[in-house]
Amino acid sequence: MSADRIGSYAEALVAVVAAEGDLVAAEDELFAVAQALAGADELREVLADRRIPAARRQQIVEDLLGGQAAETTVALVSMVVGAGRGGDLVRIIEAAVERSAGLRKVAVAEVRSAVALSEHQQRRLAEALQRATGKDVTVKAVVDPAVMGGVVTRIGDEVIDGSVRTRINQLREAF
Amino acid sequence: MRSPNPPRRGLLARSRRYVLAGATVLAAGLWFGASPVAAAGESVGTCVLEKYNEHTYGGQTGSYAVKAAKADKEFGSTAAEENIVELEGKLEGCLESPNPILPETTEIIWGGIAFAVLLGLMQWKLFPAVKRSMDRRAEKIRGDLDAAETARTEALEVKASYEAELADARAEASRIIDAARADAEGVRADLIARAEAEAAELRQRSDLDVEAAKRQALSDLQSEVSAIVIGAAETVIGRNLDHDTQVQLIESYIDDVGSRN
Amino acid sequence: MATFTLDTADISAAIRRNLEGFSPEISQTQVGRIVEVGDGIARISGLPGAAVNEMLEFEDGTVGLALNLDEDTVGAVVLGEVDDIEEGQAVRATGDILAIPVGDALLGRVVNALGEPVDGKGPVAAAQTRRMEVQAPGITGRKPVHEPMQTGIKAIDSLIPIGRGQRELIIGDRKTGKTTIAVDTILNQRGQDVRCIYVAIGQKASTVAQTVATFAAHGAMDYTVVVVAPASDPAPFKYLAPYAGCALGQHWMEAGGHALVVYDDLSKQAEAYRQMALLLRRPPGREAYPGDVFYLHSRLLERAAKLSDDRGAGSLTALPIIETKAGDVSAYIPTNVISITDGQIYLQDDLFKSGIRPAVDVGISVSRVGSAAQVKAMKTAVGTLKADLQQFRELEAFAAFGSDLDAVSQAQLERGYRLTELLKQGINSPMAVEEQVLSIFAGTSGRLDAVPTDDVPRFEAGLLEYARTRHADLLRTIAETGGADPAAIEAVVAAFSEQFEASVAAAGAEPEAAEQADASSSMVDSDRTLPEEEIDRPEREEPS
Repeated sequence: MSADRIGSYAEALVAVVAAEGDLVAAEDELFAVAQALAGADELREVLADRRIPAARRQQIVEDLLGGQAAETTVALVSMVVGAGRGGDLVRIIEAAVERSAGLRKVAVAEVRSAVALSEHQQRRLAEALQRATGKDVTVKAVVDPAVMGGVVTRIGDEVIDGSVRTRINQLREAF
Repeated sequence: MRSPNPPRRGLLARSRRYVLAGATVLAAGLWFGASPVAAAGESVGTCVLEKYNEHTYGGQTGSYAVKAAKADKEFGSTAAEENIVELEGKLEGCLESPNPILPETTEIIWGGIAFAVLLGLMQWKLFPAVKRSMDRRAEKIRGDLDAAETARTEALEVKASYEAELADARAEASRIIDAARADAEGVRADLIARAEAEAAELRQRSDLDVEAAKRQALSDLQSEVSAIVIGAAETVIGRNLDHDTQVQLIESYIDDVGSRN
Repeated sequence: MATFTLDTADISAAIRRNLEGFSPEISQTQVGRIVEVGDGIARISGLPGAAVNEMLEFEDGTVGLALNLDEDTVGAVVLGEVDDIEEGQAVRATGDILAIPVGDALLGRVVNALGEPVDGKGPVAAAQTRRMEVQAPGITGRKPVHEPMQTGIKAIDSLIPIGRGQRELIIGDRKTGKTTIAVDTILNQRGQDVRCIYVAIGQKASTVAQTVATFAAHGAMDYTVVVVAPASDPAPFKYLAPYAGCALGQHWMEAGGHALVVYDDLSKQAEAYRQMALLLRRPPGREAYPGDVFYLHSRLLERAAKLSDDRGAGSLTALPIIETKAGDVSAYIPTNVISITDGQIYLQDDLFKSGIRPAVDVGISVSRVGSAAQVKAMKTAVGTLKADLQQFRELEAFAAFGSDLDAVSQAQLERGYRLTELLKQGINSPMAVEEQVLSIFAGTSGRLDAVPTDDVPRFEAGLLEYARTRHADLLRTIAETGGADPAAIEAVVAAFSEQFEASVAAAGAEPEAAEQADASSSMVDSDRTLPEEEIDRPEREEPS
């Protein structure tokens, strides 16, 4: 699917979220959904499977997210899945989050670490990233055991990598 | 009539025999070409004719012949018989022919004169000419002999020089053979050297190949081993990163990012 | 080899060294995401800082090459298998421009277009790397070509001489002996202090293996690198292989040495480039080649040069090969490359089939700069050879009609047959220049006129043997100084000619000897007429 179409869906999502009100909360929720989906291959495949009727797929989304996320979020995800774009869901949501952050004039920093970051750490990291990049940064923290130790931050196309995983990979390449 | 007839017939037959013989001899003479027999036959024939004419006509024609015919008539058969006997005698003489060794005197005289004239002529003209040509011939032979002698000496010289050259050529040939042998030796040595160099090169190359294979194997082994070791290290590190370390890592990351610009 | 001990203790020590006191040393890189991938091409969103020809790294470690820089995507070719590359994967920009290891460590090796060894002889221990795409030396950095590059092929060295730093195109139909000429030229560089690079593009792997075996058998691998992008390789490798070969050669050229690079063949590179360009959605032009296909070859061939003394006087000679279809030299790629190069060696199919091998058409083959680089003795020996052969060709056409010829024309015709016979040569048997001089001299001076045409090879072999054993000094003089007293050459040729005539007369008396000679010469014949290795059969074993 082309970048354009992903962009259009993201645009639509952001427009709905902005109309509903709380951008930050919706962003966080959407981001969490995207992270959850990225880690669940089977779910992703099922949502992308057009042989399953759209209503059933939407039902799966509602069963999973219902009660946990705001109604708007559930409805948006359900809409994308119903439109048959379940396969691109992760990328659509990521694009939407970025656009929404762009509306607020902040950059999204996806921060991965092996253990959860404390509030304090997140705030300090946001400040540090702000200094480093010169932009306002909103930190979206993800716990990813694959990082092993340290932190990997992605802001747009930039990756600031300080993880043990990468270090070990470098070591492996050196041999 | 019968009585005078037989002698006459006998004489006629005899003379006819002589004539026949003469003719035969003449014919033979003619047949075999000019030969002493032909000459004799001719002289017998001539002689017989001469004697017969002489006897019958007295050696002269005319009166003697008439006188003889009268005499024939006068003397009758006796005279005729005598006549025939006489003729026979004469013809016998004729048959005896001239002496083959002693020529007739006139012939000797003429022959002598002719001989003298001829001898004179020859003395005067021929002999000096013959002598001159003989001299020339002798001279020529002498010259030829001399030339032959010179040629011989020359040939000897040439032969000597040929022999010398031959010896030279032999020397040259053996020199060339030696040179060729040396060349061949050189080529052989060269070939051997080249073959050895090639063999050495091959050996070296195969050594290098072995070396390369060894290197390849070692490097494979190394990457294999390091992959295993790093995998193990990864597990160990993952397990050993306690909470404090994690926090420390995160803190230092935040500090680093903050100090970046 | 130094003792190489592989100790797990060492490795774990190294790991500990790297991890101890580990502080997250941060690496900042750009990543993009794959938007679409297929046919060896990936479109990547992001990566605004990527440069043309920058190497990209996919998640599975495969390398890509950024070629199309669009507004918000990058078109990249994947240098490797695309099976594990999927949409949505991250792509890292490495910041390195495509480079290849260079230096003497590669001699004797077979590498792919990225300089990675593919001969199973372990890693290449190259000290330096060099960018594949660099600008060609400028005008001030060059000087005219003046040294000969001996190919060892009589027909070429005598009539179409090539100089060091020249770009001479070898062009002809399939199976006319193009590769053979290039391979023989490389074989002839033994001991000439010329390093060779043979770039095999789009050939069957078995053919390349055979060529490598030929090099090895003749000891040519000691000074040769083979860069191989077989037919089974993806198009980008075939596109890059010539630049990799050129970079290797340029390294030696700039170090003051001499290098020879053979591109076998550039038609296949152009086809690979066309494939890439079409998949990258570049607009197709004539014969569906993209608009910059001329630049594809011109920038490659311009890098061959003879450097000025200030820059070390090194040289890089290029022998590009172009395959024509049915002798059509007016197709797009042939005309392009003909216009870039300093001359062409045309190989004709009908000559090849009539047994004239190498099938060089000396009438239309030219070398624009090479005659300045021919050794003096060769110039003397060649004389009017080219004109003679030209006249012979015309006369031959006449003679084909069975017309009566005057004595002069007849003599020309006879000499032409002998010269043609003389210029034939077996494969993988390059001849040293001094021997070529003697051979050619025998032909041009008319010493062959009395020799039956069939006996010419025997005469030549005998002459060379004679010269080698009896007049090695003359050969040495020609080889070392490039010049020799024509009278001396004449004397040697005349002496042998007499000897040969005598031997022929003697052989007439001994038919057996003559038969043996015939047998051996027919053996030579069969050797000479070995067919060229097939390289043009459509690839069938490729799994698809």
